[in-house]
Amino acid sequence: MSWRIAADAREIFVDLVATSEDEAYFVRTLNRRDQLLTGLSEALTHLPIAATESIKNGSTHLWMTTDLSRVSLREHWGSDCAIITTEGFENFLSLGTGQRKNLFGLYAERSTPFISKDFSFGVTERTLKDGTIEKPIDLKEIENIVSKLELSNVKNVAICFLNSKKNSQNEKDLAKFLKDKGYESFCSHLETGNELVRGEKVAAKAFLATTESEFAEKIKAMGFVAENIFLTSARPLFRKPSPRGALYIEFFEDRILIKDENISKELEISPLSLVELDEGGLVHIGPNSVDSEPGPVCMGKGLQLTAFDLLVLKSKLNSTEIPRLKLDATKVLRQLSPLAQNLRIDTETCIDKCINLFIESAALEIEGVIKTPPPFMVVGGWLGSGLGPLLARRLGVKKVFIPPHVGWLSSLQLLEGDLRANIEVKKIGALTADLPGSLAEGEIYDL
Amino acid sequence: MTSDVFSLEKQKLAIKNIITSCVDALSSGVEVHGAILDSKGELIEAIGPNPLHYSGIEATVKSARSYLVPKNGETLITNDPYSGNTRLCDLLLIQGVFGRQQANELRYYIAIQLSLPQLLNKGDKTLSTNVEEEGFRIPPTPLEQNGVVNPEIVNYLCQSKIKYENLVTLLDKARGALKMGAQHFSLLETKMGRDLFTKGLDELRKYSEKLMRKALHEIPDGEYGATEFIENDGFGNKNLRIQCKLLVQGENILVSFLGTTKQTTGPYNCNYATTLGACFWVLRSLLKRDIPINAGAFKAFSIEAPDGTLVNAKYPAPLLGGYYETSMRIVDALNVILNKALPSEYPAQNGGSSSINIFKFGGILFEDRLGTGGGATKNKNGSSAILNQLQNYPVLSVEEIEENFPIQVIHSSPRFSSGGDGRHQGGDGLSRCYKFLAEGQVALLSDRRTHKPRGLFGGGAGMPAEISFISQNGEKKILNDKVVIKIAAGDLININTPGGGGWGKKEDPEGSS
Repeated sequence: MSWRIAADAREIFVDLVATSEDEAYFVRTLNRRDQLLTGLSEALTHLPIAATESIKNGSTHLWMTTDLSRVSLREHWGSDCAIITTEGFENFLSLGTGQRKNLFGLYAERSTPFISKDFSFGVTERTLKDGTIEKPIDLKEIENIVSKLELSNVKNVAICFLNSKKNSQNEKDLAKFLKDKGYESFCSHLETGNELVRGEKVAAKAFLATTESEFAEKIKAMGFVAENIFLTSARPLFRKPSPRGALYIEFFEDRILIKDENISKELEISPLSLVELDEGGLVHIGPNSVDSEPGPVCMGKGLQLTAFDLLVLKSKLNSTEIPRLKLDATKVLRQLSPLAQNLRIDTETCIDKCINLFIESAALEIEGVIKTPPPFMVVGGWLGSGLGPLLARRLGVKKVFIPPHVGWLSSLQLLEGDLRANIEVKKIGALTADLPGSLAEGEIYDL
Repeated sequence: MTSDVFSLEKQKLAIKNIITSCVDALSSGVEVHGAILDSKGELIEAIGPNPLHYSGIEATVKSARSYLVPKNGETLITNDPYSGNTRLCDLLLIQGVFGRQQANELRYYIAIQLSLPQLLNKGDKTLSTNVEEEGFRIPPTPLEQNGVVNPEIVNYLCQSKIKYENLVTLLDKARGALKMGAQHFSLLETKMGRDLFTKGLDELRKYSEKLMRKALHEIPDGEYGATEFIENDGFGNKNLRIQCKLLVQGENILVSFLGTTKQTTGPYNCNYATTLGACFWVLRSLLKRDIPINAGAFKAFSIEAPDGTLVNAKYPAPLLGGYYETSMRIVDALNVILNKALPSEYPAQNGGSSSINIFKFGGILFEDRLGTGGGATKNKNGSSAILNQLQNYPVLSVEEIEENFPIQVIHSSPRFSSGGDGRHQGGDGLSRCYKFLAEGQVALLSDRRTHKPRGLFGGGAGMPAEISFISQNGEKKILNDKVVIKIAAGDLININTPGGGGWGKKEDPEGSS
């Protein structure tokens, strides 16, 4: 009997659904930021022998949505790669838009590109703005570049020629040549935007390609066959424009994402935003935040109070997960007390006011892009059940749908197609007997 | 702090959110600044990518209200630098925010400023000797007539060959955004209660002032000076001096420009608001935290800018290059001063030029904005080819330039080895070469072509800018003056922007400088 497995694998949790023709299993495991397959690996050990056998004999299909690309870009977990551009523009990645990170500050900071200038090459091709090819690529020139690449570990090459959206022939010719030489290439004419935007995109793809294929290799090592593995970075539940004007919002530990028919945005405020009392006497939540390392105080290493810490104290997380995460509320209280004392309020009031400020900040950001309250909100992310209703109330949204196990719902959707369009009836009913809780109904709040 | 600090923070965020929404409603493809001001014209909050505009908006609103107050629902328009505005291509639209109970009570102002470089297209004289030659000046004037944008104003501005429909659409959008902003602001005041709201605004002013003062208090008492120069004004006047002194005595901080050269013939003069904006950017940069950009933040220091000088020019002195370049030199002077007052905290000099050069092809005007090298610090090399002071706009992509103007860009890359040597290397400037596909003219407004950005503690100076013209028959000329040159199809101009200064002697080991 063949099994199908789907996993919604994020930095903190992996939500896995495994199903044969008449059985379904739901597993949730903790994940590790630095080893994003740990959670999947552990989840597989919780499946019945029949499923394990099915994996071993290569007949199991795996659908998996993962944070790998996002985390790898953030942590610079990529490999040496090269970029080939129109001659004279080979350093355009380091030039970028010429902007600095902060408006104020005498030292102008800028971000480091994914590809070093040692692996940035220009070639004498030129496509004009009307698409005319003024100079085709010169293969002898490319041979020279390839001979340099052969001395390195580079296997992936980004290609970004000026005006390639008007005529992509030169990029295609170069890609073919590189393919024949054993290189994987990423062409900018397949991307949208001007050359700066396209160049960034193909550089990121080339940078991540090896990391992603190594990731897939590790999955294969678990017993899955290459053609049965489907990886995506998109979370199906929130992938497409929302139906019926809903606002989709996901609360993760390090980010809040919103999506409706017109916009898709990561808010500036996040649960990792710092809670600070500044020297002028104002309390802020954000814009400064901690990175996932050291993380919030409650996770052990962090030294600065974050919104996440306050949510822990107020039990605004999915309470069933807290024991497994070993979140240290005592440590948070030690950090919070001086703040409350400085403000001359008790800690309970301080927590409430800070969470209220956190919700207000998120709401203002959302109102900046969504001018009228949507008719209803669908909430996801493992912090969603605690925060969704608070935010909805502040935004004036009358109805909130909170699936109790969004990760599983997302995994199910990977297996079954787009559930959102008709979330009440599709497939879930048939699986209800095995569901831990009523996945079909979720929690609906009328506010 | 007497108000509830949580409520105050929410008020601060809500105000910023309102003005941000107004600006975001317009910002696609246009540079926009926005501000909310009280009924006296004092800033409550300002946003946008160039801090020179914050002081410009405040000065203009203050000036406008002295003789014209907008009626409820009415929009005023002005671009007049002699009312305090930045440039003639920056259209400032102002509406009143009126009380919800008393519809005739003007409580606040809300303003949006649209930057449209095409409005600088007036006649052939790109290097002006009079502000009237720099564009189409409009003193504060009602924008509407019978409820719609007054066609006379649009026609007047359209002499610059900006498209009538595009301008009307933009002005209508701006009016709509202002109206929305005014409604939201008024609603916010009503929701919070007028007294509490007003008290909050006062607290936020004090808050910004307090934090600014605290940051400035790090500067030890004393008198620190620096002199910088605008190399020439394009009319034979050379080494125009900017004499800058910072006098610190306890809480009192004065930036004095006594001894600065008198206003000059060419366009390298600043109005007072531009000088104030440049000083504000430097002093605000000492603060590591975001604060509301309000009148309190500006109260933390004073400026002495003698009338009729480069830093406080009087009508009809031309001002365009003052906005682009003299403002940069004011920043450079203050940077030198801070390095004297707080050694080793701040970077060596940046490339220090807007590197703005204006290209005209018939009616089409194009200004390219290029990064320069950043100054190195005690711990870091300078960043390369970056807009490192004041303005922080995204620069145009090469494809966008080629799509919209008769130009082919031949190369665009860091100008390697142009940063000053040192234990930490100054950042490199930018090298960009343009091939012209039609005849036209180029006004070379940028400075720093002979005076090098200075290094610190033995670090080398950055290379100055170098602009060369290569005619279609291969003849090459280095251009050191501010000039307007005619160009033919096939000619090339290569612009190398300055590098940043280095920090410390190259041979010194880490930590010895």
